[in-house]
Amino acid sequence: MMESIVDNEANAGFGAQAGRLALIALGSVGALLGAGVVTGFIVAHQQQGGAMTARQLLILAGALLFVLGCGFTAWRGIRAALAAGAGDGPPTPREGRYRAVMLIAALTGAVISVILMLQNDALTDNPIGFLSGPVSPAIAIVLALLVGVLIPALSIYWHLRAIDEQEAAAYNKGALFAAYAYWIGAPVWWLLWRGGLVAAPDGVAIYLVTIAIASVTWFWAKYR
Amino acid sequence: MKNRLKVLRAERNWSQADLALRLDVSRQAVNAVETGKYDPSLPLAFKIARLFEMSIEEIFDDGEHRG
Repeated sequence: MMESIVDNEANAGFGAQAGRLALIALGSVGALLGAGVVTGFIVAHQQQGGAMTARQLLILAGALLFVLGCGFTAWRGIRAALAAGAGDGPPTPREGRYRAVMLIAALTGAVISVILMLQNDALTDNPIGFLSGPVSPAIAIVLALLVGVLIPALSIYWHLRAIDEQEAAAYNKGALFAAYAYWIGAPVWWLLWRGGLVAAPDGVAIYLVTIAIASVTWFWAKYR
Repeated sequence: MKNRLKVLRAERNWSQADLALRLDVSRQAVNAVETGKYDPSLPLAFKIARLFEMSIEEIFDDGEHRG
């Protein structure tokens, strides 16, 4: 009895946690990019006019299947993560707040991504153009408010009420690694560009790499 | 840092969730402390000590033995 109390709990291995996160991340990104391809394909077809050929319909069906498959993969990952967390009974109040904020943040991210995909003319040329292509001023203001007001409010609540000190320490470690990667990586790229050795520094790429380093470090520090 | 948290918890038949609830942390944090992957802050160490009605030194061992 005592053994089961001790051993059947939140000590799932780093690999299992990483696997679940990979399922969620790959599924979500795949679904997002696939949805971008589908949207771009439909928009391009509408601009050309006429009925879709059998080949175009096949491509569209394939892309839709890909989106569904990726969405299902992400859903499996989320279900597995929730099941692993529920292995020892209902979540504690702090864990409940944690999950609620995660859900709101994920929904906000999904809404922002969908708006960007539907807005971006670049979709017709580039399926991932929504990451950096132009948007209308009104949409830009709405999205900037979402990111600039809602996310900070959520983050404050997250850090004060949802996470505990172990996760805060993991965040601090991730922030430190990301900050150094930025402080060192950005000027190195800039200097190499000035020397004519590489392409001009890309703000979006630097931002994504910084986020990735912070996230990977946080994950390692939290679940190792 | 080594500690007796897992044993003390098991002696009381508490799950990690039970202990997490009492300490107001996540199960992951309880697990990280138990396995020595995370050293708790002083406030959390005091909280743990009060919960088990022991001194911090009776629960945590930093490997520095007093002569």
